[in-house]
Amino acid sequence: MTLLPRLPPLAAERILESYLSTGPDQWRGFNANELPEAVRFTPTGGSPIAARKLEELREGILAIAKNNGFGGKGTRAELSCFDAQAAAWLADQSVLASGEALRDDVWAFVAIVMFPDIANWRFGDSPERYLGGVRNTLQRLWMRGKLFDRGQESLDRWGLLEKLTEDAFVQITERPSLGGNPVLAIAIAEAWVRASLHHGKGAMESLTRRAMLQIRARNEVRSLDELPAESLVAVLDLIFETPAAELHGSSTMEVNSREASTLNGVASHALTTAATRLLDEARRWNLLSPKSNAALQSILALEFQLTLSERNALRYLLERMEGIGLLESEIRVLGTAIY
Amino acid sequence: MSRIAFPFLTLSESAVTATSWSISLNESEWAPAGDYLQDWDPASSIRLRRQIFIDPSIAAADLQLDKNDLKFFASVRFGTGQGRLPRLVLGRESRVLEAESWMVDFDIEVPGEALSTVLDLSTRITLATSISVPAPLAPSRIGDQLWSDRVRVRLEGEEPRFPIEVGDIQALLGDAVSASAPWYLHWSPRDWSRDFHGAMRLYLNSTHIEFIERIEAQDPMMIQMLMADVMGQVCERLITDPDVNDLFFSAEPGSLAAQASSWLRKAWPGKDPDFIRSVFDNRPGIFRASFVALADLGD
Repeated sequence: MTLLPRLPPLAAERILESYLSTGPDQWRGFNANELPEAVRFTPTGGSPIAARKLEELREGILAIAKNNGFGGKGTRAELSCFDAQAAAWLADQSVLASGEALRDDVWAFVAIVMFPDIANWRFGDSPERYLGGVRNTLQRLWMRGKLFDRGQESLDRWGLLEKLTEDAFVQITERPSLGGNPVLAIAIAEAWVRASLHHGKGAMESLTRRAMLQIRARNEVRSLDELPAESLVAVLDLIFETPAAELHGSSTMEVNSREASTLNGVASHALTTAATRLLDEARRWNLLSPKSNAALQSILALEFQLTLSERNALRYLLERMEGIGLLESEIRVLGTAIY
Repeated sequence: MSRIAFPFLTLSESAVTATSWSISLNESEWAPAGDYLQDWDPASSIRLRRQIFIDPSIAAADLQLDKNDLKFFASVRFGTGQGRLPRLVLGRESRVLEAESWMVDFDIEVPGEALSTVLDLSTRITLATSISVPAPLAPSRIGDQLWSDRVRVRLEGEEPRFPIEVGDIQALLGDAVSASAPWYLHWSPRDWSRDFHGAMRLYLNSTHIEFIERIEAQDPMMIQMLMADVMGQVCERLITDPDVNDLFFSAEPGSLAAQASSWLRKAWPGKDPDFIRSVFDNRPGIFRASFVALADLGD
C-alpha cells in the first residue's frame, strides 16, 4: 500500500499565498526529494510513496500538458483535450488507486507542491483550483477519470471524458448525492451523451440543469441505482427528454409507459416543461412559497400525488401569475392538470 | 425515516427490525460499530454485519399492499471519503426479502486500502416488484424507498464532526488585526454547493492557550459562542445572496447551502427567505441572537 503526501490546509494556504504573491515565474520547480516541512504521511498502514514515483507523476502530466499547449496560453480546445487526457491518465495510475486519493489534503499537495505551474496555466490564480476539493485542478480530473471509466473491456473506454462538456462534468460531479455514486454518475453521463445527440450540445446546458434537479429529487424517493440497467436508461432518457423509441427500441417501453404517465390527461412531458418554465418565472418574480415550490418540484420529479395544501398553493401561484399576465399557455397546461 | 416528504406510504419502524452494525477489525472480536473505529489504518481489513427482518403483516398494512404482493430489496451501500455524504460509494450489496424469508443477513468485507477518513453505511429497503393496481398512496414502482438508515464510522482521528484545528492564525492572516482573534472561521461563500464539512474549517488561535483549554474541556458557553458565530456568518451570507431562493429551496443535501438553509428554517420555522431577509435587514440583533439561542440547543 502506497501512502500519499498530505499538505494540511493551513500550510497549503501559506505555500499557495507565497507562490501566487512571488509570481508563478519565480517557482523553483518540483523536487521530489525535498518536500515542504509541513507535508505529512499517515503513520502506519503502508510505505510513503517513493520520490521516483512522484517524479513519474509529474513527468506524465507534464507531457500531456506540453502536448496540449502548455507553455503558451492554451486554446479552449487544447485545455479541454488536456483535461480529458489527464483524467484518463490519472485514473489509470496504480499509486492513486487507494482511498488516499479521496483526501483533499493529498490533492492540495499535488496541485500546490507538484503542479502549481499546471494549475496556473489551466486556471490562473483562483485558490480553489489549488486547494483540495472538487474544484482542485487535478483532483477533479482524477475523479472524472474514476467515475466515467467505461471499463477496460470497452472499445471506447474514455469516450465520456471527451464527449461531456465542462458544464456537464460540473453538474454531475459537484453534486455529492449523484457524483459520489459511480453507478448513477456513469448512467447520467451516458444519458447526457444520448441527449446531446438528440438536442444538440447547444441546448444541453439548461436542459442538464433541469434534468439534474429532477434526478436528484427522484433519487430521494426512489433508489435509481437499484433499477435494472435498461430501466435506469429509460428513466434518465425521459428526464433528459430524449425519445426512447428513437434510441433504444422496445425493450424499455414497459418502464416508459409507466413513467410517461399523465395527470388529468396532461402528458408528463408537457407538465414538466410547463412546470420548469413556471418555476423559473415564479422565482424571477419572487412569487414562490415553500408549498408552491414543493408542488412544482414534485411535478418536475414526476411525482403527481400533491398534498391538498400543495395543490392549493400551486393554484394560488397560478392565479397570481395569470393576474400579472405571465406564461399563459403554461398556466393553462398546469391548471388543466391540477383542477 | 427522514424529513423527506414521500409521495407514497413507507414502512413504519415497527415493520422493520434491523440489528445494529457489528464490526470486526483485522478479524478481531465482533463489537458494536461506534462513531469512531480505533486502530484503523489502510492495511487493515474491516468486516461488518447486521441482520434485517420485516414483519410482513405490519408491512402490508403500512403500505396498503396485498401481503402476496410484498417483495423487497434490502441493500447496503458502503462508501467513504470526507464530507457529509460519501465521496465515493465503493459498493452495494443487495438481498431479496420475500415470502421465502423475511430475514436477511449482511456480512461485508471492506478492504482498508479503499477507505479514507470515514466509512459510510447506508441501508435501504425498497420495493422489488411493480404493483400493477396499487392503492392510491401505495408504493408501486421498483426502487421506491420504504425505509432507510445510515451509519458513519470515523476512521481517522483528525476528522471531527466539525473541522476544528488549532493553528497559527497570524501565519494565515498576516499582520491584520484579525490575526489576534481567538478564533477564525476559514470559508468562502463563493460556492454554496460545496460539501459543508469540506467548505469550512474553524481555526483556534494557538496563542490563546486558555481559550483553547476551555474549548478542549467543552465549556458549553464557549462552544455556544463559537457555533453561534459560525451559524450567523454563514446564514447572513446565504440570506443576502442574490440566488437565495434557489439555494434555500433546492440545495444539494450535505452542501453548505443545505446546512445554512436548515439553520434558517430552525430559527424561523415556516418562513420564506423574504421574511428572514427582512429580519436581517431591519433587526440584525434579533437575527444574530437567534443563532446564539439555537447554538445553545446543540444545533
